[in-house]
Amino acid sequence: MINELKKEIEKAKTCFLEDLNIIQSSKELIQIKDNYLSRKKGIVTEFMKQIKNLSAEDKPLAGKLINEFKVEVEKQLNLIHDRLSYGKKNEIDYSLPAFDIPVGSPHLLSIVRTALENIFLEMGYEITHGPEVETEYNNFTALNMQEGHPARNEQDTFFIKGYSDIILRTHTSPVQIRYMENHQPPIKIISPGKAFRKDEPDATHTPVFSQIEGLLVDKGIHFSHLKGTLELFIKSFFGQNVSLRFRPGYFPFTEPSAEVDISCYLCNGSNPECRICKGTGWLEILGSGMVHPRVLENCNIDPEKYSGFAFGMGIERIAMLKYGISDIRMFYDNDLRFLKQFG
Amino acid sequence: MRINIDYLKQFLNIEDAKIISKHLSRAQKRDVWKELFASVGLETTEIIDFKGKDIFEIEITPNRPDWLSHYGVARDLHSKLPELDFHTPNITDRKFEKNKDNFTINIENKDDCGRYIACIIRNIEVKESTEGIKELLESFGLRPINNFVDVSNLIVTTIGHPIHMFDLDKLKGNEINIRRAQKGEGIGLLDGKEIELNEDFLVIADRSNPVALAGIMGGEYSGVTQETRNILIESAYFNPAVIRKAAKKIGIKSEASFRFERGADILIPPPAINMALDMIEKSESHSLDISYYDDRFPADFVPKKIQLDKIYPSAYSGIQISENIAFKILIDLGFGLDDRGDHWEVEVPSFRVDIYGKQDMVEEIIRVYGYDRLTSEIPKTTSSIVKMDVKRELNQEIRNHLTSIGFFEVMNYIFISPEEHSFFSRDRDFLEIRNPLGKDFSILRKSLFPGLLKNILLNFNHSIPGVGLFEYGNQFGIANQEIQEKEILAIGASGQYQKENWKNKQGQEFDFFIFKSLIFSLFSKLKISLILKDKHKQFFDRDCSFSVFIKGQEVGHMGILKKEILDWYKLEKPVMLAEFFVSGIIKNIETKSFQMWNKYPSYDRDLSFLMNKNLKYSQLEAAICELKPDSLENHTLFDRYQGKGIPEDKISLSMTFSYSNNQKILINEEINEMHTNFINKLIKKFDLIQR
Repeated sequence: MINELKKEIEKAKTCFLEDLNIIQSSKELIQIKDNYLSRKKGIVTEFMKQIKNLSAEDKPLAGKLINEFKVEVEKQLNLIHDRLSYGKKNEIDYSLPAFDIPVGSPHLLSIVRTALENIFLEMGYEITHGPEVETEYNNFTALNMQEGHPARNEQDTFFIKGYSDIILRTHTSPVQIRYMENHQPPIKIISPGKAFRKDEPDATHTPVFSQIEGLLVDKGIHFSHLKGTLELFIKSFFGQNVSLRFRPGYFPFTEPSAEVDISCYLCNGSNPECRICKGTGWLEILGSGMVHPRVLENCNIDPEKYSGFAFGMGIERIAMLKYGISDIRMFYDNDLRFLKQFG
Repeated sequence: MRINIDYLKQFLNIEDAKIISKHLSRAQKRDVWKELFASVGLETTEIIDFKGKDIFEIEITPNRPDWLSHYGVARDLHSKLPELDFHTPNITDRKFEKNKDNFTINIENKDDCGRYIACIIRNIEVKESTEGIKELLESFGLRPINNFVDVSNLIVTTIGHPIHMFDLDKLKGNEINIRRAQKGEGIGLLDGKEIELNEDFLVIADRSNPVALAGIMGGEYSGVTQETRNILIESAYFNPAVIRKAAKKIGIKSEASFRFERGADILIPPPAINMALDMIEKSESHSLDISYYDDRFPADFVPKKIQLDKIYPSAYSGIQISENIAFKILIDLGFGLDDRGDHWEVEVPSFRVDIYGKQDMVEEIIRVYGYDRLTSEIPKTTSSIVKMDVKRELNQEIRNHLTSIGFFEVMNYIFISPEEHSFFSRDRDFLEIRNPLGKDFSILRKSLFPGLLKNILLNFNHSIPGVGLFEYGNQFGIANQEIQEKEILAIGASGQYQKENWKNKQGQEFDFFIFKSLIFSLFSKLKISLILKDKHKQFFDRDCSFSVFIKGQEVGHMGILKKEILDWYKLEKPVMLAEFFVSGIIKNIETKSFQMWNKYPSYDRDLSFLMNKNLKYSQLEAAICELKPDSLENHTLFDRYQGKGIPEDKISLSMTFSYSNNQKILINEEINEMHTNFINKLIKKFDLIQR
């Protein structure tokens, strides 16, 4: 019995495939659908009726075979229905809204850091990293801030309990020390990363912040190379119309040193109430200078043979200027209302 | 440091500078002064109107103690405004009769005190200063006290040198001793503080007791009062390191210590004391009865000499600066230059304690010549090799993937509270901050979860229905007595995953399977296969706590946050968390090479069976991997059912097994035989019941 049913189903399958070929209109489609799937006299229904005549053990298999056939018929007929109705007017309101697919964002600091890194990578700099827990030597002493140096800001420094000389780095400059100790010039690196200072959080301070610093050491490097490099960088990031201003400054690890301002990219000094530059026309953006000969000596690089420049900037500061953010704490609140605006 | 523009004019009349036009308004002039100050390196932080006069609050960098006076500032401005005459202060050069009083100065160690001048004036009258002097001091932000103290303050702000005055009659014995204090000694300072002393402090002492903390502050007992009739004036030079250490130790920052710890001018004590005498003479309006003066100068002072190649300023700055200009600038700034043909021998003036070498000379020259005249050049340096930052590439790829499947990147502080720490690590090998911002920020995190949990809570509190977050950051610890820092990728999710919409009216909450699937999608993107193994972690739910393995190596963990911790954070919905060592992922990124795909078809065989409920799918899967024939390409679980029609201790599973061989077409009989053999093994192993 079951074998006969099997044969019949096979036969019906063959017929069905032939029938499919003749369908040219929805009228024919409805007719064929009726032939096979009509509840009263459809072929599938006819098969079902035969089940009751089968032995108990054959019943499940028969059911399965018939069902497979039914599924196949439905699937093929639906495909044809779709093909026939394609391009024709139908009842669906395609103006119904799209579904919300969850989408996230990188952190703004990652976005800005990546953009800054990309500029320097294009200029041929290598990215280097170092630990956040550092020695006082790498963080201060090697950078020409001996113990007791007035610029060695110990009250701003986090110390690690149980160690006399281990701290959280206060800038990413120790990465440069580590690199110089192990490489001879030419050296062309940037060191992005976190830095830590013991500041109570307020609108312009957080105890954790991010920096990106650059270092280039080679023969014949001079101060105008620094200006050229920074100008190229600033214009690439803030736009061609932004200009650069060097001011004398002081950092223990550079000589000469320069504070660098950029012209306000928003108002260019024309708006006394500008929300970005507060009417001054200039924005303090980074610190820089020629690497102090003592720093080179500390890393076994001969300052008579080589010279170099270094620069450093706060990534939050750059992001705040570029995006008009007024409170640095927002970077570390991780409020989605902030995070989702960028990236 | 406050600069009174009016007072500055006695040294340099900047009103006459070319950059100032007579037609400028007061506000415009202020801008010009501010620019001028900035051009030499003096940053204006505030401009104060004091009775119609402009007072500039200026930030002085710690390397330039010579800027801490009106005279010092005028000297630098003069180099910028060479058209103006620079006036040195008009100070009487006195000849003193030595030691009428049979008085002595004893300097214990010339390294502590390189120079000490003491001068005694008798029969003086302490009174109020003139209105002019009082107003001047007020314009500097100082409180007038009496004509003697006011002179000290005026000297400091005018020429930058701190002098000190003692009531001579309060000093015991005819001597001044500059020595280290002894343990057990103490002093009551002018500001009312009582200080216990030891060998770290340098003191000025009379025959028996300390009467002042050298270079920091005088003692209250020996100070000048209305009753003082005879006075001893001190003008000295102290070792900056000694003063700095002592001042830091007691936490005092005085006008004197501020200057001495940065480095005073060792040649200035005589003019400073003469200037004081001039002022006192003026206020006393009769000639002074000076009964003692001695200048003890034991330091071996030799002016610093620097050899400066004449071409060096141009070479190091990258702009052409003529020899004449360089020469003129250095002379104006007070340097001595000796022409030695191709170079100058530069003598550094005693007030420039910041000068180290020829690079400093370049800074001096271009500072005055103008930083704005620097040109822009791009160095030709090229790296010998272009090094790719593999970790950066990977992090970027992970960041891209996670953000595109709905996760937000966060950044948290690296310090957490001891309590939070205790949830995620029971080890004692953690790092602690000795001077934290507070106890809640005292432990360097060993896990990134505390940050993520706080972020999740904050966003729930802002009525955001669901959050998926990730963070890159370091964890800190100690291993084998060494400090260890490891980069971690942490991922967390809670609440709504997908919002309901008009077609799917249910929406979807984050559950472990969605979380796991999202994480597997990340690793599938990285072409890395993960294996999860049950492993109990104290912070995960007992039933859902896994270690994650890549090629047999443990690289992280994931699970559902334990209820107790959830409650502590006041979170309500379950939180799914995962952490991975970035180094563990990097190690397993393989260089890809092309592989021809399997050209032969694959054939599916379905299998439905009942399994004992107490068995885990992971056990079944492990057995499948162990027992499978080589040609079993893939297996998928497509249905799982328990309930009606299924015995209570069983569960119904339906799987598809796909067979294919990349060498040949498999024929039906072969597949059936393979499949039957294989499932029989499975059935036997787990007592499965085929349906």
